[in-house]
Amino acid sequence: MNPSLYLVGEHTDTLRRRTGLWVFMGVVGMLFFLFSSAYLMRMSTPDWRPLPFVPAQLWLSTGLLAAASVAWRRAAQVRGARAVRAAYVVACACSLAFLASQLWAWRAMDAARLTLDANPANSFFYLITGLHGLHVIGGLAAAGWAYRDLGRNGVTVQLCARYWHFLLALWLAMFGLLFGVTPALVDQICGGGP
Amino acid sequence: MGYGGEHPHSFWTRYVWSQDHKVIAIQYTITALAIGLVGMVLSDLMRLQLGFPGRFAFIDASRYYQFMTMHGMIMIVYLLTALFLGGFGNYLIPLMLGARDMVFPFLNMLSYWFYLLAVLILAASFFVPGGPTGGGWTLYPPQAILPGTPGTEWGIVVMLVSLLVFIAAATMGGLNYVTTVLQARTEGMTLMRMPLTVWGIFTATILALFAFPALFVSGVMMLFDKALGTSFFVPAVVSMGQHLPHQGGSPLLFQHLFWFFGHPEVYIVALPAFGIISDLISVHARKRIFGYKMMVWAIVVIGVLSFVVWAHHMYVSGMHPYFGFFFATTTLVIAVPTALKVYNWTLTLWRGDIHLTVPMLFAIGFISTFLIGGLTGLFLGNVSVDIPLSNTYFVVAHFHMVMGVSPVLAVFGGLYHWFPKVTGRMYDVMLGRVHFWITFVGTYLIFFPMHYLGLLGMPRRYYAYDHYAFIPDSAQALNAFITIVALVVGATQLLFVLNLWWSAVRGREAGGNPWRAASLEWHTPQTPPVHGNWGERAPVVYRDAYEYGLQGGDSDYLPQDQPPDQARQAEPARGEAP
Repeated sequence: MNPSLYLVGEHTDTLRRRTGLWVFMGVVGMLFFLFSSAYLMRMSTPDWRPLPFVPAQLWLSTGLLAAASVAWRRAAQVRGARAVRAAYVVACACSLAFLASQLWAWRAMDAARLTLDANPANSFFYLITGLHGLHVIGGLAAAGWAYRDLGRNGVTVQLCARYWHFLLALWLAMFGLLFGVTPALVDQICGGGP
Repeated sequence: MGYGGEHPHSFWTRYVWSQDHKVIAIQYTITALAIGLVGMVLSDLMRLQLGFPGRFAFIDASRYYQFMTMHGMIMIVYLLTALFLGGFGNYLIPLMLGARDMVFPFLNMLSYWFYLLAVLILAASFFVPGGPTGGGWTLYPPQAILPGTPGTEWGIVVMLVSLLVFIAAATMGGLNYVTTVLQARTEGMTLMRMPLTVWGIFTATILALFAFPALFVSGVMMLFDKALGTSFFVPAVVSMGQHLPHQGGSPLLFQHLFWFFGHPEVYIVALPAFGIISDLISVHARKRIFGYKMMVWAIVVIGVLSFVVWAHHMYVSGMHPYFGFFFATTTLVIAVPTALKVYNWTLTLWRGDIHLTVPMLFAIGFISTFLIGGLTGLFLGNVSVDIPLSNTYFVVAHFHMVMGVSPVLAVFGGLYHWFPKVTGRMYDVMLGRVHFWITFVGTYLIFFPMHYLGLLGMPRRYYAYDHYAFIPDSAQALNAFITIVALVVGATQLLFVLNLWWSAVRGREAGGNPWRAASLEWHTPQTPPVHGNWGERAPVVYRDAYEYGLQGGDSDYLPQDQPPDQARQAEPARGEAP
């Protein structure tokens, strides 16, 4: 049998990988949606103390992740191997810096005695930021694997761009959830519950 | 780009680190059956205690709870989920759709190895200090992680880690199954021409992808509570006279998360069974499946509804009455599409040319057990009926009938049905029939009396029933009877293992299509199918998979890939006859 008969056309291959990524983002979205639901339900218990302040590092992180997202977009759009590679390097560097900045925020929280087990809001903060960070690391692993495709095949870079937009949206949602949603707000929306 | 330019050559790449969906399916199936046998032995050990209390000294209360927990978790997650999605899904999706493989073969291989790792981690919990967890398969905190429950030292941690690894495996597999169904169907294979088996597995996979994250969330948060001292689920507790550092956690939050996974999980194992049964009945009754479109929509509607019924597992946990009303209503509504499927199976059998082959026996057995189990579900779905029956053997009888026995019968039916395709050989018919009758009658004898025990008020999850004046002595006699039948049925499963093992090596050559079936997997150029499945040209599909019972011409069916202008060719109908 001639193995070349099995080769899947580039267009079909693109569709498959794109579908796979959408499904994956659906699963990750569900995961964070459920963490958010748990967060809101746990918030209704009387021992809840909201996080007292926003660590400044988180604004830096947000900027870095947004920059990474833009860089991926650029890597997907520009022509020429050099330009693609430059955007790729910027995107990966920004993502690594994002992770470092998140760790720095953890240190700041820890220094303010807001440790993991001190109060449930803190526990959720470490849990959710940690899990989001793991998804960034997973993305970086995929990006590292994509390095050999750079300039040859635009699909991987496009998919990376899409995933990073998703990571950014996810981060903004989690950032808003952790610091913007208070028991008072939940009460206002849900009417206090039965 | 694309997959699989190379055919694997060495033993290792062909059978061990294989990326071929068929090999992965067999790996999944064997692993799941092996751990399933362990789960079965555990159930027999529990039955020994229940039937003959105190007679077997090594089964103390702690061991009993450990056996119970491991039995439940193994059967639901590591046997049924893995076997239906990883086993049947892997084998049948590409073959039934005319694809050459899954779209991401490497990920598919990783999925199996993660699954195997999860199984090994789970099995390791028998050997850690303190033994496996005894918290019940629902692992409710706080009891699952606090002293007093067996296995709180290591067992619970090992269990949670194993589940997290399993979820990673199921997600990798699930991405493949969904993407393959959406993107790799062959020419002419529209969604509404897919065999119902694929529809069942496809919908169940979507449920798995969206439900397992809830188990992941609850598992991670419980690990944090156990290992890092957080208080997600554990409230302020005085344990053994000591104030624990936890405070304010919500056990109810865990229950919501767990059952948001746990209820769809029921349909993750039921929907593939529905699909398999539909195909088995249609092929062996030589009749078009009754109401194909209805069947597809029923599967989809059941899948959607399964996400909004979870709190019917929590009626006795305490909830707002309107909440209970809502969940009772959705629970009863789900009976409508489910009953529709049962009617359609029956109507397919009606005046069909029924061949009582071994797969067909299992399929008809499934309809019977599923009907019984489903009807008692209607009892329990009502809040007011559930409250007195909750936590009794009535519930045990219900869920074993509906999601224990029924899916297992579908598994057996499916394994016998596709065995000739997987191995190229026929199983031993006599052994298969003996296996069916003992299993089918035996499971009725085991689980039907449990309904009565439940109505007597016999509580489940108890190690012994001393000093319960309201339970009559005759209940003990019934329990002893159930235990004896359970041991016989358990031993009979060895016949099944023996049959498959022996027939795979020594069985009679079955030919490519012994059932004269119309779906694509029976029309591969080689049997068993080789890497790439279809040889030079992928098949083209002209119709759905249910053209049976045709009059005139030489054969009574039309394969999916036979061009319309080509005359029907007679094929020797070998079936089970030697």
